[in-house]
Amino acid sequence: MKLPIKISVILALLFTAACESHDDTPLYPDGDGFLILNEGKYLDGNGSVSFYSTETNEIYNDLFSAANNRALGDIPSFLAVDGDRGFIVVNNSGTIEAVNLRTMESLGTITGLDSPRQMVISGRKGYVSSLNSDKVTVVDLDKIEISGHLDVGSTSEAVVIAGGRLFSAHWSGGSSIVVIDLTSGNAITSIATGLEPESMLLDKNGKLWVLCTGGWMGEEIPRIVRINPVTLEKEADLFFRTVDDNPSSLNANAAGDTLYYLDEGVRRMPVTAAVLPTEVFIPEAERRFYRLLVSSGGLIAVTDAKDYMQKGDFLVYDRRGQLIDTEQAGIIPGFMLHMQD
Amino acid sequence: MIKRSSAYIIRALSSRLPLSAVAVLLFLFLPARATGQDSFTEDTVNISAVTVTARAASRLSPYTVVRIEPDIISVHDGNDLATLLRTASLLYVKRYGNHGLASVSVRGMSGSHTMVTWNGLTINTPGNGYSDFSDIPVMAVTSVRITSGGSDLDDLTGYIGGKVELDTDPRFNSGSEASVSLSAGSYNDYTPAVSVSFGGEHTYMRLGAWVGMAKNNFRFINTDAPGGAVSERRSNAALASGGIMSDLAYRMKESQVSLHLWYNDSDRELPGPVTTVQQNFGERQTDRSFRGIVKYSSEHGRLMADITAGGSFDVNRYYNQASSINGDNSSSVATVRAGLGYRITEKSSLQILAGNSFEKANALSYDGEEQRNIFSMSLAGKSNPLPRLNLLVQVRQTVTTGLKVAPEFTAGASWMLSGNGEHLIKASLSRNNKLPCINDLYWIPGGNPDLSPESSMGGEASWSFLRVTPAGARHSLDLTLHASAVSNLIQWMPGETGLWYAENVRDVNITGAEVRAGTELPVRNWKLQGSLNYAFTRSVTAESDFVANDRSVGRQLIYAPLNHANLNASATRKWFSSGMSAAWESRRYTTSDNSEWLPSAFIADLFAGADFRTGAVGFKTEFIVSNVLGTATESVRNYPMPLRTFKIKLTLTWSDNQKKHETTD
Repeated sequence: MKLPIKISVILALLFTAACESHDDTPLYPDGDGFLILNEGKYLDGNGSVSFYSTETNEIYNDLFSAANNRALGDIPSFLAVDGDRGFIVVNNSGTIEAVNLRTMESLGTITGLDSPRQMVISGRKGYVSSLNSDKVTVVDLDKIEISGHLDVGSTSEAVVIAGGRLFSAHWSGGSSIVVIDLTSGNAITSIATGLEPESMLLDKNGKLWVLCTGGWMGEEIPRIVRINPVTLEKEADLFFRTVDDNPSSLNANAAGDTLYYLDEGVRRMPVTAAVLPTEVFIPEAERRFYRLLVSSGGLIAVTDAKDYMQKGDFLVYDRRGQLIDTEQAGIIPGFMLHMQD
Repeated sequence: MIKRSSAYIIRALSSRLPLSAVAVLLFLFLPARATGQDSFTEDTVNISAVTVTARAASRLSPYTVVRIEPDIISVHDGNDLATLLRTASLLYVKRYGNHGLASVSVRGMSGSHTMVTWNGLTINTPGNGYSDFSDIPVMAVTSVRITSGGSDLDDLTGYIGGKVELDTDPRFNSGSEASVSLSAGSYNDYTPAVSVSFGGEHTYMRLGAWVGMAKNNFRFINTDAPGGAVSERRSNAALASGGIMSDLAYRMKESQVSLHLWYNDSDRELPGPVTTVQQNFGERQTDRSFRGIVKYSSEHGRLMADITAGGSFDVNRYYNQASSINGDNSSSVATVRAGLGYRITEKSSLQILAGNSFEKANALSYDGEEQRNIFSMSLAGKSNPLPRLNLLVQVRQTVTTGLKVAPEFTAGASWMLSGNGEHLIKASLSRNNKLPCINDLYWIPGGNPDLSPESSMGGEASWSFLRVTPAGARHSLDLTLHASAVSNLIQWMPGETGLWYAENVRDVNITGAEVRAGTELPVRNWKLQGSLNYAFTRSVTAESDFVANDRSVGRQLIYAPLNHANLNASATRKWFSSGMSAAWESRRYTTSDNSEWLPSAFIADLFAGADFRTGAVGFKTEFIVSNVLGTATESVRNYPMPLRTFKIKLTLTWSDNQKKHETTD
């Protein structure tokens, strides 16, 4: 081979190597851990995604921007899982980012939503609640686009699907759960709860539990309400102590037999309890607990948003309530998702 | 021998009053005010080499007072005040996009720590404590004076950060004048204005009116757009505004009275943030304000007195179509102040100032109308015991509804190193307070009636050089070091429910250095002018008792650039003038732990103009290129500013005074 040809080949190989030199290293390790949505500072558009590996006990921050070379948006508030894809609801940007959950690469962006809050998936559709609109937006998961709307007659926050019905919590200024028949798309009824139903889940018995904050001005004593989603009857009202209590983030363990929530720290109770617990399971101390998640393995993850203007902390406790680890997450670490292999 | 120089006699007390007894009675029965700082230098050595200008009085003040040059004001008279201050002062301007809400901060504090006065009337809104500088057109003022730090205790209340004084000074003997102007700029930015004035020997009157409108749909680069960086047009950013202002003044032999009225009205769309996608919440804000003030001043023998009485009424309405959230805020302020000065000897004087301000505010988020009364009294002693030495001691006590306010003081001195006044050193020490604004106290939710006033203890030291040559050249250089400790800083912090509450939560330490250099140089038929300002301001959270492991401690406050500089240069020859102005700001942190920031920004503007005059008629045209480098910048995160824009301004004037001069020539 002549020298110029050799040089050309070498240069071509070098160029090819350079072109292929992008880093294939995963942004975060496989295995058990917590995906964390950091809301970012209001209006700054600096929401981000973190992952805490329970295997390496390390946190990996800014995953979305590292994968996509752009910001995620303003206040990512929820992540719904569809197989290996995640749909990140970005509240104040009015968008939903569809991402590959392992690489965090954007698969598409749905824009034009009116203050979306949370999303629940049923079949190939996603149902997105709204802080501003009286409609729940229906998303086609395959096309990654809006396919329609359901008129729920009120704004919405938490959304749960049970028995072919969508239960939509009228949180902002409301005191009811609106029930929609997903086959017809029509509202069936509205179930009265306490003021401002903030979080909602189904337990092992299929009962719907709703945490009501009592209003942002402390209008009434907060309560946790149990609803039978079949009969649509309210079965129990478990009241907190005073109007000054500020509970939030109702959660449950994997078995669905124990409820957890934030109230001066982390509290827990069996779903069979007739009254709310008086003891704090994990005291808040000088921290500002913001969101809570209990993993299938029993780990309790809590976020501390500090002054909402700096990076917050992610804390992990074992099932006995002993602190295992504290890591610095992004600004206002909020929604969490437990990831497993 | 000590001579009196008219340059150092205070503005407001420059005339004499035959009715000194009346003044004494007024002082006894009315809250009083007098300008303390300027009269400080009433008796001083005659500085032959220094041109007699108002700047000299500011220079001898023991703390930093800067006056923006009229030439620079003239270049910017089609802009808003925020734009002027960004390029001509060391104030930091924070604005929500072009024509958006703008506040200015001094020495690392926030915009609410900057007091803004117009002809002596405080125009900060009592509700939130801010003044919106984008709503103040430069053409509405003739003089801009800036005091850095809170050492000036002549006002009814303190402010900690600094003070911006806007004035429309009467121009006696200026003859009859009329002018019509129109500026037209990129993105349908139009500002027509008219003014008529008459300045006789005893009377002065001026009436001015202006309209501003802009579509403001400028292009910007959205680097975080979902599909990659794209060029977009700003939406929901249009502006319509207008105003009318009138000044009436009458001077007698020893006294002067003036009336100033200002009505301002604006209707602005509020563009949303660009958080990966451009948000449009359909926000809109209207602001309507009426301000009026009467000033009376006199001097008779050893006695000086002045009285100021005025008020303002502001209505602010906010509309958010997306969330159906509306705001309806109104506030009014009635102020009366009086001062009495007495020259004890040729070397020393006493001044007593007292005043009362009644503030009333209403908002949908208040539990009804909130109001408070602020009364304060200060006593100042001034002396120049040695020909080159000037001393000032001033104390002030404020009494206000529901708050306990500690006494404030300022002590300072200036010393001329050289007999001709070229070199001067000065130093001051001060303790001053800022009262919580009404929103901090009563906003629902989160207002806290138990708040304490914020307080600052600090001082500064300066060296000043000023040389004026017989050929007309003027060179100046000022170096200032300052330090202060601010305690009980009020911040809105998240509470248990996620709602935010006002708390005296943090202490802040501020240290800094400032350099101001200026030159005016006649070169043949050219007049060259230049000024360079630089500020280093370290403004860090010293202590926080808010949360565990607070990473804001030791960090720079948000939106307080560590470095800030600007440069202005111009060249004028006969009818032609041209120049440039540039401003640079280092990174501005946007999070309290300094983990995120806006990058440093450099903006340069160019201008050129021609000024022709024939008899009584003058025609002036100016062409301005703003952001000539087309730099993509943000002052507030996600609120982009325009890239390169153009503006042309045409002004037609008629002046019988000019005609008289030419006839005389």
